[in-house]
Amino acid sequence: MVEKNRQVKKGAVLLACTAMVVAGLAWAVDEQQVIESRQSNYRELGGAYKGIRDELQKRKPLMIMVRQHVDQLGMLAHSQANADWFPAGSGPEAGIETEALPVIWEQRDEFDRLREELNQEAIMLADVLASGDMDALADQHRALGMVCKQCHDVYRLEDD
Amino acid sequence: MVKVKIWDLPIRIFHWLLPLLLGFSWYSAETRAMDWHRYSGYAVLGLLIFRLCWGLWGSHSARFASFIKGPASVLAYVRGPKPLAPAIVGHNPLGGWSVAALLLVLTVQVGSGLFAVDVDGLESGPLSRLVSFDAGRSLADIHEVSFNILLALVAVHLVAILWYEFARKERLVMAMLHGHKQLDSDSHSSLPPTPSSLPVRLLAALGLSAVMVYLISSGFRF
Repeated sequence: MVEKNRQVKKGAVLLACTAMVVAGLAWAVDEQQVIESRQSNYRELGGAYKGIRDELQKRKPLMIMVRQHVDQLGMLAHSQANADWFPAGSGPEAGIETEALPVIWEQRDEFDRLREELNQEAIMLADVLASGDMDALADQHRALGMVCKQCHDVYRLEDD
Repeated sequence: MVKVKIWDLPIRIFHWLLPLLLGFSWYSAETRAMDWHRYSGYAVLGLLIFRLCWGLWGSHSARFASFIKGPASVLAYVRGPKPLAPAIVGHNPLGGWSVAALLLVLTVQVGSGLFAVDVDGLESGPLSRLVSFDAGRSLADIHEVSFNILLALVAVHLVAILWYEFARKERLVMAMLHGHKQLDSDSHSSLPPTPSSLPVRLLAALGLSAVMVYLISSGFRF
């Protein structure tokens, strides 16, 4: 009886350990996925921003390209404001290469406010595009870029 | 003793403008004065194109053909001068490679800057529209790394000058200022005479540099 109890205990401990390891692995994989998709999404957002800029610098911008980039930027800006791309634990403590600084989670309200501001600027960009005023579009494009910079200056590890 | 002209005026102006502009480029990048950084970069681009032209059809000591030597010459130079060997006018075989290395890294530096994109997408080089955002970001990283390599080469350059100045008593800095070198009258290799077409060659080099800087800085948009 005692022997059986001991075996059951052993089994339980082993099971608990396995569960912890699996959970730990799952958590690590999860963090990696969160960080990597966040990075890839922001890169895409940067690409859309650059795409608009490249068109605006042409003498005759291709409107179909401008529209496509503005749409993509709007979608990503909306997503980063409304979905949580920065869940707790997805900072440098995850041990995965990221330029997200811990101050994001220390000043969460201000960070979230900037995320929403980016979304609003992107909505305005789409409105200005619909108005057809290209000078206003260039101004709004720059205003949106300033929000990127505002956030990067504080919450992103400077890489230069 | 005889006074021999080794560096012509264009080479000396090129030489001294380069550290000034590199310093200013560094400062403007650090202080995020990116408009000034771009102007400074265009000026360095102009200097670089001019130097490459001058290396092909400039005065004798400026030409790559006169100072890019094979490994045997470099080794012989490092082992020390042979008795009665003529004095070197212009870059020595080792220094020639240092010039080549500096020009090569400078080309990477300027070239990567032309296509670089900053993380906010607000600032970018004049040719960045030709590459993707990711490629532009990678080139910005290369721009940074190559600057550090450039600094290392500059450090080697300065140490070498100090060594020649104090250990070999060769006044390289003064020579780069006034363009002349004092030599024992019969100990130097004979210099080819300055061709009379030099002013035309100079105009061609300056003209080509100006046109290229104009085209590149405007991103080839006409």
